[in-house]
Amino acid sequence: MTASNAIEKPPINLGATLKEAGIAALIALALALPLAGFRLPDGGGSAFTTRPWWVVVAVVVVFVGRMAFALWRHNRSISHGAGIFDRILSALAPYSRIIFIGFFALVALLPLMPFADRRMVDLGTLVMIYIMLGWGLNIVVGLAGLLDLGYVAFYAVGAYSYTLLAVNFGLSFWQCLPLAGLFAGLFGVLLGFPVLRLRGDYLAIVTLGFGEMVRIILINWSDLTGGSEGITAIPGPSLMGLKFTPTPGAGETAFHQFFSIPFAGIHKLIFLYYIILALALVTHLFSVRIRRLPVGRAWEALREDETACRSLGLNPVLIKLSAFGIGAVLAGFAGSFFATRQGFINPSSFTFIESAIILAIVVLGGMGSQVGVICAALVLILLPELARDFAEFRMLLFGGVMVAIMVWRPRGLLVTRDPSVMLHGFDLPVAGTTQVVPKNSGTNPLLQIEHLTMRFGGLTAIDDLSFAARAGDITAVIGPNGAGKTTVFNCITGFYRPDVGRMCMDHDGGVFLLERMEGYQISATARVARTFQNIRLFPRMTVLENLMVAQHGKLMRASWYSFAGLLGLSRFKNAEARAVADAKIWLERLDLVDVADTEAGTLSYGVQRKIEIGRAMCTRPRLLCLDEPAAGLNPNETQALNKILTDIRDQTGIGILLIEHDMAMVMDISDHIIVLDHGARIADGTPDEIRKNPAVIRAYLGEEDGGHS
Amino acid sequence: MSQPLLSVNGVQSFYGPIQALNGVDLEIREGEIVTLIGANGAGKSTLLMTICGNPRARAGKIMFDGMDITNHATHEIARLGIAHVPEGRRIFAHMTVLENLLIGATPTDGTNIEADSQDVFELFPILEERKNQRGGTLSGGEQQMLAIGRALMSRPRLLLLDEPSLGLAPLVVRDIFKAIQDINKSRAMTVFLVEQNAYHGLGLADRAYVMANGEIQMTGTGKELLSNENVRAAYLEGGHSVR
Repeated sequence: MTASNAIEKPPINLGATLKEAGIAALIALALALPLAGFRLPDGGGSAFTTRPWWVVVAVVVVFVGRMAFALWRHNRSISHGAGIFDRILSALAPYSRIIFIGFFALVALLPLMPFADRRMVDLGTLVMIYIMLGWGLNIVVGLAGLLDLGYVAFYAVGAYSYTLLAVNFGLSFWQCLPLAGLFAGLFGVLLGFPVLRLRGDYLAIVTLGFGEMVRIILINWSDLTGGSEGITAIPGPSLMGLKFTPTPGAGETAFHQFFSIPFAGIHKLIFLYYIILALALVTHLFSVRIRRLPVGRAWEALREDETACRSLGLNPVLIKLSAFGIGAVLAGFAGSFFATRQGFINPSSFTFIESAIILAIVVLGGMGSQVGVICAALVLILLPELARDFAEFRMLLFGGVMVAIMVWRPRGLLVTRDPSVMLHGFDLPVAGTTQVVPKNSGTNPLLQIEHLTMRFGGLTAIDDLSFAARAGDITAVIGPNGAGKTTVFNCITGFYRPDVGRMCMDHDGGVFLLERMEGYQISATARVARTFQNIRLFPRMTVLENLMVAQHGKLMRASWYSFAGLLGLSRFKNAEARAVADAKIWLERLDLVDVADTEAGTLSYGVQRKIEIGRAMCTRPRLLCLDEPAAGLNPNETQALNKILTDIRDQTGIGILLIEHDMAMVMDISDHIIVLDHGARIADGTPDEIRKNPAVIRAYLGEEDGGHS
Repeated sequence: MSQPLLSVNGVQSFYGPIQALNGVDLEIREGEIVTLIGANGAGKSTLLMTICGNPRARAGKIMFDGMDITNHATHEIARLGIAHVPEGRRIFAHMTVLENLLIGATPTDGTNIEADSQDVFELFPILEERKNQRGGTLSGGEQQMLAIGRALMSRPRLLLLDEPSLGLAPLVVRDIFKAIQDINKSRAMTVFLVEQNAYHGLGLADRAYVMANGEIQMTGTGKELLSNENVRAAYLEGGHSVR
């Protein structure tokens, strides 16, 4: 067919657009009339002046603006490809390092420029405080996906820690800084421990409450904190013992005396500017680096899918606590800097609106984006300050810019995500390995399930089920939908705790009792891996990253729980290279090398299924539980999968437990089949025995399918 | 039958940053069952989603009953009479079966809800038994029936089915395909079916298309494609006897 592919532009519906603009203008009228139309005299009294023209202007602006917006959007829906902003960004991407260094040099030199006055330096300092806070919160919200509405609490803890230590014990700023970070971090962990079981909205409400609690405690514990008056006369920082004061005390040397220059107030401001610049730079380097470490990947994986994380042996509580704690430490640093800059603090600096602004910086910048935070902080902090010239229109302008950004880039200013590790371009010095389980010498089965029973309310999903799976075997579990197959998997992998029964996983002669282990231990310690019926990948991470998350435990140990990684020691680099090499083996076997650096969520269903199997194998399991791996595959693809599974069985010697409805596949590759119906075992045997079993044909296969396959 | 009910003309579409459709042409006439088969990643699901306006086609034209719907919003397309049963069913797990069905009736004026839900219960009697149960507690096969029933509640003229046999036991697969045939025959519903289970999918199709790499590779009646050597080799046999 040779259809003309040029898109015909449908005409814009003028009537509907006019109506829409009219409604917007009416709303503007209703708002502008009381807000802008009447003006009470400044000195009080009941006489007021009217400003009809203001209302007219507001209504006309809204009407015309709405029309223009509709036209713009109409034209945009036809346009192809990436927007101009995205194109500029991708054009700049190769020079990002130069741009970063250039930007940093500019920021570093700013206070030394002849045009830099007090206000500019002060403003720069303020913006950098928020950038630092934004980066801290970015770890919690953007990476780990934990919505924290009380972030300002840690900022407050940092500020008060510094203040109290400095005022009461005379410690200097540099002594207090790490302590303040430590206290804030401890607070984060203490708060996190009980509440991190919660997710999403619930976590947000609890953290919101925590933020308010801290503020109220600060107000009411007046013996310690000075109540709502706060604490004044906080000592400023010193440069190697040099103070920034016109009149140094006895035995002290002031900055201007040491350098024999006249005293100027701006010296202190410039010094503060450099302190926060250094702090922000350290925060930046730290964040960039930790995002590429196993712990950073684990944060993102947790944001994407907590259930999958547990199935890969990640302990969600520890990972969340580390994100919460590190975010709090950074807020603590920023807080103690805030205190020393202000010279006084009181609880009114730590209200909910501060948390909201920091969160807005993270969201507006594009969750998880380092540079996005800088852009958003510039817009959110600088704009209201610069717009002071517009007097009473300041906030109107600010609101307008906010609305425009959200219309223009609803997911934030910068939403591109750099993968933490890339296969292409990764220099692999070593060849990967896979596990090989020695042939089961003893008589013990790999997994022995005895009298397993699981009830949900009145419904008995599994009823006194016993069976065994051997190493080096593919054991299939089949049965009608709703027979309890997936429930068996959920019991084995620790997602459900069975009411009755024992599940013994063989382990070098001993056994692990799976029913007594936490979900993540079953993968990490007992080495049972699983896939999911409805595919649980980390969709916004690349295929390789998915496989790297599966090797979390080993990489964490190799990186000394991140310290070796942060320092860039070769110990960690070698371990990471080995992990990539191991992952590459599975990428090659599953024919995924080409898509290794593609976001997993953009790939098709069948490819995602393969990724899930590769990810499970990267945990080096002794038992692999596959929940309908062939669903959504056509016969050719199923056959390729059969080959993969039999290869895994024959080459690694691990046991495979398989739930599947594709009978051709089950009959072809299984060594042993167990048939469930209504939670009980109705048959157990080799494929040939099962095919002929009348009970199985009745409940599951159907008459005509039983005979040939 | 002068003009097709749905015609897709040179449609290109992107899934994220990846071009999934490279100019697809096909048409579906009133009363037909048309099946689309193809390997994973060929763009089958993306085509169904593009017909529903999410994502919108970047190029080409989609006509439904003589109207250009290429740039319509998804909810408008649903109102025009195209119902989509998505891959993986996507039922509302925390709402009851009946509530799921009632939501399905949103695009209608609401006067036929009683009769329509009775029709669905007739087609899938198990749903009536479970009507006050939450959707998430249903078995896979029942959820698929609910997803189809929910789509039927919108009184569509064209039913788009994305892999209805996914993850279902053999007996249930047969029930579902029987129901699809029944919907087509007794209710004169036009059906566009995307299926991996090519044997079943082609078996009940009046006409079928084969898709690869975002393009239509082949077309013919269901029977023609079932007996076509290339199709058999690529999508049916895979080393197995056909079930």
